[in-house]
Amino acid sequence: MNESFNRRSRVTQVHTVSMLVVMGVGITVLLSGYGKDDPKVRINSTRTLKRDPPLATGNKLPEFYLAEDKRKGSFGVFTVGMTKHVDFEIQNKGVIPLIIKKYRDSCNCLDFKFIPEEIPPGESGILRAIYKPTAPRKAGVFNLFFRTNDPKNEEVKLQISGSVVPPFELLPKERWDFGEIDYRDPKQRTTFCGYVISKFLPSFELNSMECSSKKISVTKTPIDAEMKKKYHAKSGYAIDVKLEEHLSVGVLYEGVTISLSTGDYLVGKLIKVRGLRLGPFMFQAIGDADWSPEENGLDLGSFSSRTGKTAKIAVIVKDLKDIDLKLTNITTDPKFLKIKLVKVKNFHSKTRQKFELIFEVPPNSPPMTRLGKEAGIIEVETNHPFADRIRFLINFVSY
Amino acid sequence: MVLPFIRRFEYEVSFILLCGCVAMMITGCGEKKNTASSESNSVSSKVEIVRELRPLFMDWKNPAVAILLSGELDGYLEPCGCSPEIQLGGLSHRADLVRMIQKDKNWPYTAFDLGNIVQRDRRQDKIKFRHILQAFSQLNYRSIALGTSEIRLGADLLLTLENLSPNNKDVKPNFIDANIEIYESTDFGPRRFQILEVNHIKIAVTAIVGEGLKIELFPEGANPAIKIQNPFVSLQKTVAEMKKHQPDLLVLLAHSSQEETRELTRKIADFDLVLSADGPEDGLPDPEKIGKTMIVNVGKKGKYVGVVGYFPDDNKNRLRFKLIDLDRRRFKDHPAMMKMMKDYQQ
Repeated sequence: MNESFNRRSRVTQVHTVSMLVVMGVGITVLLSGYGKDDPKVRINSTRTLKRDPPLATGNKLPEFYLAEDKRKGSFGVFTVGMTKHVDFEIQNKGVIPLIIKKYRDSCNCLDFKFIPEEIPPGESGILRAIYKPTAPRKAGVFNLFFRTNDPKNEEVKLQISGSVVPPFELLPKERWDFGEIDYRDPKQRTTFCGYVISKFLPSFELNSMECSSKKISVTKTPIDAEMKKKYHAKSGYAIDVKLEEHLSVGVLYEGVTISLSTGDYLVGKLIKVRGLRLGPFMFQAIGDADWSPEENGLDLGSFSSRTGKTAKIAVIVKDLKDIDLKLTNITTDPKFLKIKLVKVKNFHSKTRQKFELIFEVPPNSPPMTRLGKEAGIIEVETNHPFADRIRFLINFVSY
Repeated sequence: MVLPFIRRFEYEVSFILLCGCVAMMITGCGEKKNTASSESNSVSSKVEIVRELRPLFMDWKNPAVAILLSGELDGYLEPCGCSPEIQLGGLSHRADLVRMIQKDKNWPYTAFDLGNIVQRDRRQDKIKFRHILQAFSQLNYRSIALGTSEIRLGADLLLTLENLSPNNKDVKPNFIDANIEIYESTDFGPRRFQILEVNHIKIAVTAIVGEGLKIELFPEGANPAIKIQNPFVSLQKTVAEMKKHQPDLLVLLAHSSQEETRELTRKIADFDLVLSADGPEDGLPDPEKIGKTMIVNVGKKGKYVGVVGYFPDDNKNRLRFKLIDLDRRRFKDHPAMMKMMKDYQQ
C-alpha cells in the first residue's frame, strides 16, 4: 500500500511538472504571434492586412457622413505646453452602428477621441483631435486618415492646420557670437544687443539676469512697437551685453542666465556668449590638420619617427600694410621641430595678407611623446608691430 | 525498450500528449481566425496599398534633366520617427530615389541642397556634418547653399572644407552663396554661383542667405568672421554674371523667409526656379508662381524631397515639380548610406 501511495505521489508530481511545461510552451507560442499576419505593408507582398475596424457586410450597413467642406479644421496659433482640440461632427445615416478608428496621421503628436466609440444609426458623434505639442512646429497641415466599417467610406481623410510657436525665443537663437574684438580699433563696440521675445504672449516678465563672470555685464529694455513689428513679436526685451574693458587675448566663453515668467509659469534660459580677442593673426587649419584655436596648438597625432610628420595651417594677418610678415627668431623644444613661413601670393583681400605655416617633425628624429603639459613648444619672434612674439603648442607621439 | 517505458508511464505520457494537442489547437485556431478575417477584408486592403503608393512620375516622359531638391535636413540621417506607422525620410531612402531616377528611369540627373545640413554646432554635429557631405558627394549633389547652421559652424571649420574653395573644381558638391564673405575676402569662398551642364542643358545656380536671418546668427554690433551682405545687391551682380554664360535654366537656392524670397523674386525676375526655406515641415506639394518663376518648398528633416523635371519642348509646362515623401514602404535601404551611417556611429 505504501508502495502504491508513493507511486501515485510521484505520478502526481510528474503530471504537474509536465502540464506546466507544456502549457508554458503553448502560451509562449500563442503570445509570440506565430501564425498571425505581419502588420507591415509591402507593395509586392501577397500578405494581407488585418483591418480595423472590419468592413460591414450584408444588407444592413452603416453610412458615414461628413460634408466635404467640413473636413478641414484649424488649431490656430498657440504655444508649447498648451492643449488644443478640433471637433468633427459625424453623422451615421445607416442602419447599424458606425465605427471609426484612426489609421494614421502625418505626425505622432495627436490624440483622438471618438464620442461615442460607436455611433448609433441615425445619430451623430464627435471625432476629436487633440494636440498638446512638446516642441514648436511651423505652420503646416496635419493629414489624418481614418478607417470606418462603412464599405462606401472605407477611408476618410481630414486635415487640420496649425502652428506652434515657442513661448519665448532668443535672438540670436543659439550662441551670441560677438565675433572679433579689437581694442585698437577706435570703432570697436563693447556693447552688443540681442533679444528675448514672444510671438505669442502679449507680455511677460524678465525677472533676473545673472552673468557667469565679471567679464560681462547685462542690462534690459522692453522693446518698442517698431522692434515688435520687425521681429513679429507681441512682447519682448532687448538685452545689452557689455564687455569688460581689456579682455585678455583669446576666446571668450561666458553665459547669462535669465529668468522669465508669465502668470502661469516660470522659465529659465541660458544665453551663451562668445567673443574672440585676437592679435592681428587668425590661424586656420588646412586639410586635416588638427588645430586648436583655444590652445594655439597643433596635434600631429601618432606617427613613425622614421617618416616624420608635416602639417600646415594658414595665417591671416591684419595691419601689415606693405611689408611681409617674417619670423625673425625661432626657438623650439624639442630642438628638431621645424617651422617655415610661406606667403600665399595670389590671395586678395582689402585688409589682410595670407601665409602658410608649415610645421615639421623631420624624418629620423628621436622617437618621443610630447602631449598636454609636456607638449612641444615653438616660439617665434615676428616683425609685426602689434604681435612681436607667438607661441605654438605641438602635441605629438613619434614611435 | 520504448514499449515498457510507455507502459510504465502510460498516464504521464498520455497527459503530455493531451496538453500538446491543446496547445497546438490554440495556435492553429488563432491562425485560421486571422486568415478568415483577412480574407474578408483583403481586397479592400490591397486596393489601399495601390492607392497610397502609386508609381512616381506617372505623367513624366523623359525630362531633359531631373533636378533633385532638398534642404533643412537638420541632421536627420534616418527617418524622423515622427509617426510610428509611417517612417519618412532618411538618407538611405533618398539614395534609393536617386538610384530609381538614374538607373530605373535612366534620366539625366543633378541635385541641389538648401543648407542647414545639421542643426547645432557641437562637436558631434561637426562630425555628422562631414559625414553627410560625403553622402551628398556619393549622391552626386553639385551645389549646396550655406544656411544659418553652416554659418554657425564657424569660419574655422568651413575653411577646412575643400567644398568651400572657389578654386577647387574637382570636388563635389560645392558650397555656393552670393552674399556671404569670409574674412572680407572672396578668395576663401563660397563661390558666388556655379554653372553646370547636364545632358547639354546649361544650369546656372546661386544662393543667398536672407537679411532677416542675420539677427538669428549675430547680435547687433557683432564683428563676425562670416558677414552677410545685402542679398538683393549681391544677387543683382551675380545674376548679371550668370547670364553671360547663357544658361538654359537659372536657379536660386534662397535660405530666407518665404516673405523675403517672394520679395527678391519680384525684384529679380530672371530665375526659372527658386527653392525656398522657411516653409511647413512637410513641404508644399504645389509650387507658387511669381511671373515666370516657380517657387518650391520641400520641408524639413529630410522627410520629403522635391524633383523638378525640365521639359524644354513643352511650352506650357517646361518645369514640373513633384514633392516626394521618402516612405520606407516604397524605398529600400541603400548599402552605401547604411555604411556611411555605420561609420558615423563608430
